[in-house]
Amino acid sequence: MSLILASSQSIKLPRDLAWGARLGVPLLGLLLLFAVWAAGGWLIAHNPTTVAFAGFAPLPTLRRLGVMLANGAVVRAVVPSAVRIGAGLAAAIVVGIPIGILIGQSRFFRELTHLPFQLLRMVSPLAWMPIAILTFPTWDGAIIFLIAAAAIWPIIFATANGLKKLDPDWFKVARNLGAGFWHVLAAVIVPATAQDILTGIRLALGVAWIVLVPAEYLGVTSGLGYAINDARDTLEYDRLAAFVLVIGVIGFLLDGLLVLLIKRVSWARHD
Amino acid sequence: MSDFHAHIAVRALSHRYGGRSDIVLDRVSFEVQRGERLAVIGRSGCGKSTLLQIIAGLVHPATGEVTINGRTVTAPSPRCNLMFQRSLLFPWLDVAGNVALALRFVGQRNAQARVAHLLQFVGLRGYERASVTELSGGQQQRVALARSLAVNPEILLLDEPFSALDPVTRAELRQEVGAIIESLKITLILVTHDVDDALQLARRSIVMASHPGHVVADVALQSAAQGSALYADQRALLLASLEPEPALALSA
Ligand SMILES: Nc1ncnc2c1ncn2[C@@H]1O[C@H](COP(=O)(O)OP(=O)(O)O)[C@@H](O)[C@H]1O
Ligand SMILES: [Mg+2]
Repeated sequence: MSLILASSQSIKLPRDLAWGARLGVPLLGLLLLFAVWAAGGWLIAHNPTTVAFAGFAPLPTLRRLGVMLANGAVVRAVVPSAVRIGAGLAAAIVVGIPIGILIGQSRFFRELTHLPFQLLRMVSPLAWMPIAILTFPTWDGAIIFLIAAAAIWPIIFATANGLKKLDPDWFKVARNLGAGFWHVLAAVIVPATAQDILTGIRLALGVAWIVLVPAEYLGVTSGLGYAINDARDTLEYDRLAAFVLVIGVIGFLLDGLLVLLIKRVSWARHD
Repeated sequence: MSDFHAHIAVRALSHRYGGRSDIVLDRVSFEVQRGERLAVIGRSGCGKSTLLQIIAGLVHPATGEVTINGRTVTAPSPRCNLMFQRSLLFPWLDVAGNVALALRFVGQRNAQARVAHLLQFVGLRGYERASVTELSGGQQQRVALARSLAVNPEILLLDEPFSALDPVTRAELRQEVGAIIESLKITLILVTHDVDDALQLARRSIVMASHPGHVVADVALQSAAQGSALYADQRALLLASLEPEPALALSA
């Protein structure tokens, strides 16, 4: 905190320049990424041993992306993935928030679950793959389970952490003013913890989005992970790179949406 | 409601907190009439806050009972409102939101006019959209008072509502709360360790001593201007009653 403060104070830019810098520096970063991509593409295309992979370069990729957006290929790949992410995340939220509340409220439960949860949390969600395949009758079920298994931990711990900010006397005030259980839940617990829970969901979405692609290498014949695998098998590297781009952009947009939501419900003073 | 009962009756109230051996309250009994203004004074730790929370129905007593209008208190009710030392406002809501929330709990929907009226009443007109974390301590207590009054309580319990404030704000708010309570004809129990709070807001004072918390005196207070001889006399009397008992003083 103080480090950030010190560094932001040490860079004293004139006002208009500071304004330009605020937008300009992030854009410059994006431009640099693009430049590295373009340079890589150029190198691949000019090396006889790698020229087969020239589709990875920006131009072929963007051209192919345009075609895929127009013919619906992007939407066809995104929708099944979105459904799986949504289902996995929903399962993680429905199970994770109550567990987080229990950990936050009950010392017994917190101590009971501490070691098992720390152990389980450290297992890569993909390590559950064989078990998931054995347990679930459908590929979709297994994939949703893997996503949920990855997404549940940040939700549990963020919820438990958010409960720490609840002042026990708030409950007394609310009950004294005539609040029933649902009032207390809706008017005190939810708004008091919303920013933490949403932060947990944001982290969960990040890992879920990462787990999605390898999980979709499993049995299914739809979704972004399948599409990437399929593009590799058919040697269409421009299509492969286009899907990588789609994954990055959607993940970025979803994350941005959650950041906006978190800002809306935040109440702690930002100082 | 009924004229046969005291508004509030505290009967042989004893309490200890679960898992602890020390007795916090020991057979405390007193009655408060409708519209009466009672101060409960005592050193910190003698069980004043516990007593108020039992009266408010927020803590269940080990033995004894509290009745309001002749009926035993078993749960909190908006009709008997407790205002804490800390304002305990909800920081995710603005000033108006905090006051309106109380109305929502009791099922009142069109609260806007009522909220504006209450804020004007506590001297915070125009502060509707202000963030509660940016208010001063005194202003926060005013919002808490507006929130307490929003549900039209017939009893107001104040737990050291001014003790976190600086002396100037404290005197100012004390005077305004006095005027508000006077105009509402509300029954008041004010808990404090400050004898000036008691002298300026109450017409009767119960004095408590600690270990375990029990009542040692119950004195009528006369209205007297601050600085007058009568005020000084009553002040001296209350201060003397707050002194530790001789036996304790010797052993200390
Ligand atoms: N929730 C609680 N659990 C256990 N002990 C408590 C609790 N609240 C108060 N006490 C204890 O009860 C005694 C009286 O406290 P309190 O009623 O707050 O006194 P006062 O308001 O006069 O300072 C103190 O010894 C305090 O430590
Ligand atoms: Mg107290």
